Amino acid sequence: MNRYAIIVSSLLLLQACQPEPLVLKDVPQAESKMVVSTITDGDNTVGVFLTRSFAALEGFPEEDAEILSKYIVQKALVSISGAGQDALLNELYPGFYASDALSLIPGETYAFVAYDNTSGQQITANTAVLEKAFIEELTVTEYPVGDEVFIQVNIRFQDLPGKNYYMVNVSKSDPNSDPSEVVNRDVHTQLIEEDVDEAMIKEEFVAFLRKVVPGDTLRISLAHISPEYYFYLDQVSGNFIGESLLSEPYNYPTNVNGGYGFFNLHEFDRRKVLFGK
Amino acid sequence: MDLVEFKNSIGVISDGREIILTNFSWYCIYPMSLVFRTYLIFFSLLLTTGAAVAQKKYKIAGTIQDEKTKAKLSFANISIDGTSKGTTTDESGHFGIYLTKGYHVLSVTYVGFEKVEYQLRILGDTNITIGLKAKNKVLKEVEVVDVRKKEDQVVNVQSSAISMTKKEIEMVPTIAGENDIIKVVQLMPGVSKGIEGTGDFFVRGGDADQNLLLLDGATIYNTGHLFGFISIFNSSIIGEASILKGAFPSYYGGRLSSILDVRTQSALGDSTAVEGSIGLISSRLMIKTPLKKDKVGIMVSGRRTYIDQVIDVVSDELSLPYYFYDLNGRVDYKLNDKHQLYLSGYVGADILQFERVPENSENQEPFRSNNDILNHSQTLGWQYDFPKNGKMNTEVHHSVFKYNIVSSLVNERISARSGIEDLGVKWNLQLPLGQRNLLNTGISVINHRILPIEFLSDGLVSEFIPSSRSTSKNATEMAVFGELTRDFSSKLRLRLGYRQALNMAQGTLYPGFEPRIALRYAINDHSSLKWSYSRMTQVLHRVSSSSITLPVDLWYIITDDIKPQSSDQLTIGYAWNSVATGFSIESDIYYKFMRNLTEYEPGTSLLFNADFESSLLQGNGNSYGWEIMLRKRGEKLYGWVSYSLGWSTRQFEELNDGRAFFATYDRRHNAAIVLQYNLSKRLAVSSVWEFLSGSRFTPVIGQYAVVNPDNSGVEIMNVYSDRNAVKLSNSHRLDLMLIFKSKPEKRIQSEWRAGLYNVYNRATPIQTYVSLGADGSYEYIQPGLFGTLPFISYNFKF
Repeated sequence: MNRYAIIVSSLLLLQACQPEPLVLKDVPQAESKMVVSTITDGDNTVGVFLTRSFAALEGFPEEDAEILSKYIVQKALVSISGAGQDALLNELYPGFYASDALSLIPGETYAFVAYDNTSGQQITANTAVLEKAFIEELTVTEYPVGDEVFIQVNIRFQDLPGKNYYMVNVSKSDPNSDPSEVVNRDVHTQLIEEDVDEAMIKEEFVAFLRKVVPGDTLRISLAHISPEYYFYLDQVSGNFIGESLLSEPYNYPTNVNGGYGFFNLHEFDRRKVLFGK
Repeated sequence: MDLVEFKNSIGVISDGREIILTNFSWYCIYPMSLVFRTYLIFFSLLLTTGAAVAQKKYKIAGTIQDEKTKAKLSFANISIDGTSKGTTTDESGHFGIYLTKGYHVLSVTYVGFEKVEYQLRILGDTNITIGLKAKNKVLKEVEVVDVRKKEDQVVNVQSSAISMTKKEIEMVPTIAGENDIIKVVQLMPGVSKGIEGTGDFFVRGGDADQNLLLLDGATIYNTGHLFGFISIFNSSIIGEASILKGAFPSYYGGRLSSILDVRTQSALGDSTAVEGSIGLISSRLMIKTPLKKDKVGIMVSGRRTYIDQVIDVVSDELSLPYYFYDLNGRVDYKLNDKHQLYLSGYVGADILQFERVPENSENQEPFRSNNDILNHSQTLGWQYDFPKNGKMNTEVHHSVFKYNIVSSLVNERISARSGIEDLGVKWNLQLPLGQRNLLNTGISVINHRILPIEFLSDGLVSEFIPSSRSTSKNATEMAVFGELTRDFSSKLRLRLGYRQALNMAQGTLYPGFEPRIALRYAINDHSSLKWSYSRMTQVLHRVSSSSITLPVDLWYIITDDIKPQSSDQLTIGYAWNSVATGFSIESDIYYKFMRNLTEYEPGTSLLFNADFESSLLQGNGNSYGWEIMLRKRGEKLYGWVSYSLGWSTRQFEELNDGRAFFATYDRRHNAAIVLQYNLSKRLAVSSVWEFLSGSRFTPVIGQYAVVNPDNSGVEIMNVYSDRNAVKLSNSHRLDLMLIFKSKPEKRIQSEWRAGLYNVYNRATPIQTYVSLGADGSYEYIQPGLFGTLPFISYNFKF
């Protein structure tokens, strides 16, 4: 037996002596609450996706996305009112409620109410509609580092009056993606806080998306967002390497009374570009 | 600059308000003037009090030492036959006792040495030096005598203190067989440990950064090699060590929870001594030799891990790019019977140098990472012995802790560095005043230079981790202290002390008012009751995660926003000692209230975060509990049983919705049985059995999905429990060690130590997370770090 084998055998022997992990019983589980995700697009459709939170012992959605389907909130009463309008949202797909009868007027505050018939829970939230920001100029180039290729993004857009918060998202546009891979963290979100009124904001940044290679189509969007949502995203991006022993336990903020998630009515300006071409 | 200009300012200080000083000269002159002024007033008061109580008895002052090596024997037992009088030597081997004129028989006993008796005829004050002869192990041993004599625990006013001998440090089986004083401390009552195997410890519900670790008076900021698993204190050089958990004498300050005071052994002697060890992880060697017999001596000791070298030799394919080393040295120079100088130093480092070409790399550029953690300290000491058992000690000390981490790949580079450097001086006078009073007073000044953290990045990585640097800090910790210990009767002893801290940081003065009181009431010759109150303040904080501490945690000084920590602690103690049987008991009840403790804001990421100051929160905590220790110090059986029952909570306005929560290492029950039994003159067995209540944890208790900001999928978010709401499982562990010694008459004494760590392979949980169980359902599991680990080492000395 060569010496290499002796060392490997010794390491395996020590590994074999790893103590069996103990099982911890009676850990209190989180109360199930309704979760709000707002989905807006440029066609005046306002959509809300309603789910429920679930106990940690129910499983891992990142490994088994099917689990999420059990926690979709269906047949809820969902309404949005504001600027003299009052719209009841229809359930177009399980858990997805939408209306195209709302006009989003910048500066106006809109109230959201959802009532779950099954659990009897009701959640509420308010948000103000912000003026939309538009992309003036956009270039995307390759940024090679070693054997990796990153995405260099240069974006230019008109700043709006006052103190503003923006987000620029970069993700892969893939019409053939596997619908079961609903859990998608492969999005780069660049947050911009602008305190000084500038004629034009020029933002340059590098994004790394795990599944993107030159030749892919990228989806890039700009949105003018609320300070609360900016702070929330800032917290999420602060833990970009994932929550671990090196980050303090944290329950992310929400503007939903009695639930989780965010009710937003920001509008996107979207572009699709071919990466590396 | 004339001090008169600052008179008004001093008046403001007496109102308790902080002063912002804007001129550099102010920083230096004003606090120093305050120190000396306070000191002179304090000293005069104590002197007046002491002088008023002088009576006509004669003082016998002396020193107990090893007859052969001249090493001073601390805590030797001195008694006067036919009376209840007794005392013990102090840490330097000195003692003092008062006797009336006439004949007396003075007995001295010390474990491992033959008992001696002297007949004294007292005509006046006398100084004597007594040499003890080491027991010849071939001869029949005549008597077993307890080393921790009456004075130490029953007569002494000090409570909440535990001293540790080298023998106790070496008898405890540990991971890989490395003797480790920190592991011994963790087995003491009132001390609970953090993550298994690491060097963090938590005293009476305090935090890990509230322990002051001193090596010959110099502060040691990083106590562990190998990510904290092995202590930096090389057992070969340790002369004496003690930990104080409460009833703090005014001599000590700067931390809230404990003082671990480690002193290297004197290098004086009349012959060369060599001691060494070869272990699985590291080897060490210590050589002590006189340059001039009993006048000048030198000691050097080194230790290094060599597993990296072994792997390099036996394999071309494997490498372990890590090693640590430490070096200790000490020179003692005894000028005459009154003056002694010593210089001691320590340097240690952990080096991790990693280089690897990533798999499938086209350009074959390697990823490189260099991680250097460096500690060093130096102390220059001068001791002057007064004729009547008084002594004066002056120590100048310097210590540095810093780390530097550099990682690079092609044009990408990121580095992090942090450091703290201390330069200080401590002057201490111990002066008997009459027969019943002992004055202990002094001044301490330490200057801290701190670079909390600096991140530098180049290339693309700077897009994600921009270069950032927290501001360098300069701060001065000053204190004037004094206390008077007085025997009001043979039963009642009072120690009344005060420490005036004057801490200057970033132009702001933070005064700390620290009264210290300790009272002892002797029930009889064998038992006593004790009570104490002490206030401590702390200006340095160690910034670390609430879950885990790392060698690269950084130290930080108070600022305008980060206030000094302070605590008030009350203790009630009981001590009992049976010299005849070698058994002793010490027990304490304590209550401690702590202010301005620090924690991070929820959600703070500690990686590459130079702006940690804005994330720091301050709040309060309290802890209380009961602890007991039964000790046996015999020739056959040696060891102790300890038990602690404690509660420790925290309350921060910004955490847990402002509600109180348990501290992370709020371990309700801690118990340890540490025993060594000598089966024969050449064979002994040592064991440790330890029980720990589970620590506290904040687990994920729920999840939810939200649509990501791009509306291109969902992200999964965690829901955490209330802060530290869950208690991890209790743990217990047995370690065993066999010691096989060479024949006692051999010139080179050697021994083999072999054993098993965690004999029955039980996990000590460090965290909990959800995992898929064998039955297909999800459950919380708690992994441990170390299973059964065998160890063996060879030790020798001559």
